[in-house]
Amino acid sequence: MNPMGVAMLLTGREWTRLRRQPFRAVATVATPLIFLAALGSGFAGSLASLSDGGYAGFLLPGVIAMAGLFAAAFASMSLIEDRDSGLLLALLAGPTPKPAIGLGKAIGVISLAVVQSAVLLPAAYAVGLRPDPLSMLLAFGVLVMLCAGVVGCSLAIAWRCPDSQTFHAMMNVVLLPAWMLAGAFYPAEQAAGVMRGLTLADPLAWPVASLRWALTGDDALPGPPGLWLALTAVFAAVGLTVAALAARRTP
Amino acid sequence: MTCTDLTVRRGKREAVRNVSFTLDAGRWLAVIGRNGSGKSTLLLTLAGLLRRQSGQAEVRGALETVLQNTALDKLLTVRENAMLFARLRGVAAEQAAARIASLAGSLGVEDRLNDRVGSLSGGLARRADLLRACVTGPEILLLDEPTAGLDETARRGFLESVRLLRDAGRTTLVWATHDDAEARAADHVAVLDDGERAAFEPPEALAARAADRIVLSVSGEPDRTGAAGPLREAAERAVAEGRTVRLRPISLLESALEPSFR
Repeated sequence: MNPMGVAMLLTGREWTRLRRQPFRAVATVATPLIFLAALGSGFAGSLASLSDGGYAGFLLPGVIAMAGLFAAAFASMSLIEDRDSGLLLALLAGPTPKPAIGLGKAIGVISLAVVQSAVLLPAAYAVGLRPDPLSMLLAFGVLVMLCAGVVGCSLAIAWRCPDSQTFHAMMNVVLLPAWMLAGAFYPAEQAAGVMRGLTLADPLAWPVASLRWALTGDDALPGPPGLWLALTAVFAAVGLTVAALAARRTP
Repeated sequence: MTCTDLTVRRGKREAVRNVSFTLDAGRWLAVIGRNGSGKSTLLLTLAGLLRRQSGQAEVRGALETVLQNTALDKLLTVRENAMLFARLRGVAAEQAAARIASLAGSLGVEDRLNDRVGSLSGGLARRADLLRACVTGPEILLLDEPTAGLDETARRGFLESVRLLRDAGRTTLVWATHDDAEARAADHVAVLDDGERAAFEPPEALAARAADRIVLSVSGEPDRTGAAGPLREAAERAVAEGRTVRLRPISLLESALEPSFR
C-alpha cells in the first residue's frame, strides 16, 4: 500500500478514536473558550485598546493556538498507548513501510489538532474582528503549520518517553511556558527586555504572531509578517524532521 | 527462515548469543527457555524490530506478530482492528471482509466482531489478536507467549485455533512459549539457555533423549519438607524410593536443560 493510503487509514483510525471519546473533543475546545471568556471579559476594561476587538480580540489568536497546541500534544500521547499495547510493534513488524506508518500517525494527529483548533476561528467575528475569507484561509494555514510542528516534536518525545506520566510532565514543563512566552497574553513589543528576547526566540511566538496578523492585521512582532510566516513553516519542517529521525529507531 | 551465528545485545547484555538454525516454510517452531533466556529477543529480531550485533537473520515472506500484549486498539471493534491491519497490508476491502468472516468462525469470535476490544475477556482478546494477525494472510507468524495469563480452557482453545490455521495454509510459525503442550504441538523445538541454543530438534526426539534422566531429587519426609508433597502431586512421573522422591522430566524444557536446583 502506498504511503498516502497508509496515512488515510491511520488518520481514519484517529478520528474513530476521537468520536468514541467525545469528552476529549469537548474539553479541547471548551478549555480555550473558558480562557477567552474569563480573561477576555476580565481585562475588557483595562486592556481594551490592544485590538479592534478589545482584549478578547487580542487574546483570540493565542487561544486558538493554545487549542491546537494542546490537542496536538495530547493526541500525540496515543503513540505511547500504541507502543505499550504492542500495536505499534505489530504495525512496524509487518510489511508496511515504517516511514509510511510514522507519516500516517503524524498526519492523523495533525488533522485532529487542526480541526479542533480551527473550529474556534469563527469566534473572531463574535469578538468583533472582521477578517476577510482570505485572512481566514491564511489563519487556517498557520494552524496547519503550528500543529505540524508541535505534533512532530511531541511524537519525537513520545517515541522515546518511558510512560505517559513522564510525557505529561514534559509537556507541562515545555509547552505551558512556551505558550505563555509566545505573546498570547501580552503585546511582545511592549514587554521588558529579557521577556521580549525570550518571546522572539520562542517558536510558538511565530505562529501566534502570524495568526494575529491574519485575524487582526496587527504586527505582533518586529519585522515583516512574511518573516514570521516563514519561521512558522521552518518550525513545522523541523518538527516533522525530528519526528522522522526519532521514528528510525524501534520504540 | 535462517539464523546464522545470531547475536543480539539488549543494553549491556548479550540476550541472544551465536544462535543458528534453519526453518523450512510451513513448519512450526516452538522456542522454549526459562525467563530471560532470549526468546522474546530472538522473535523481535526475526521481526526486524531489534538490531543484530553480529550474524545473520534471514526471513523471507510477509510476517505478522502476536506478542504478549494484544496489539489491538481497545476503542475499535474486533472487525475494525482486523480491517485496519488487512488494509494497511494491502488487502482489498472486500477480500478482507471475506477473510474476517471466515477466520472469525474458526477462531470462535464471529458473534463478537462488532464489540469493542476493550469489552472482551482476555481469552477472546487473544483470539481477536490472532484474527488481526492472520487476516493479512501472513507467510510467517511470530507468536511470543500469546497464551500467557489465560486459563487452561482458553489456552487449549487458542492452541487449537493456531493448529487449524496452520493446517489450512502454509504459514510458518515461530512460537515462544512456557507451555509444554504448545511446545509439543510444534514440528521442532528450539531450547534457549541464557541466550544460547541448547537444543533444536523435534519434540519427540527431545523427550526421548532424556527419558531416563532424573531432573530433580527431593530427600526427606514428604510431608515435612514442604516441597516434596506439592511436587509429587504436580509430577506425573514421580518415583518414590524410601525417603526420596525422584521426579522424571515432564516437560521438554526439563528434558533439555540441567536442573535449576537440587
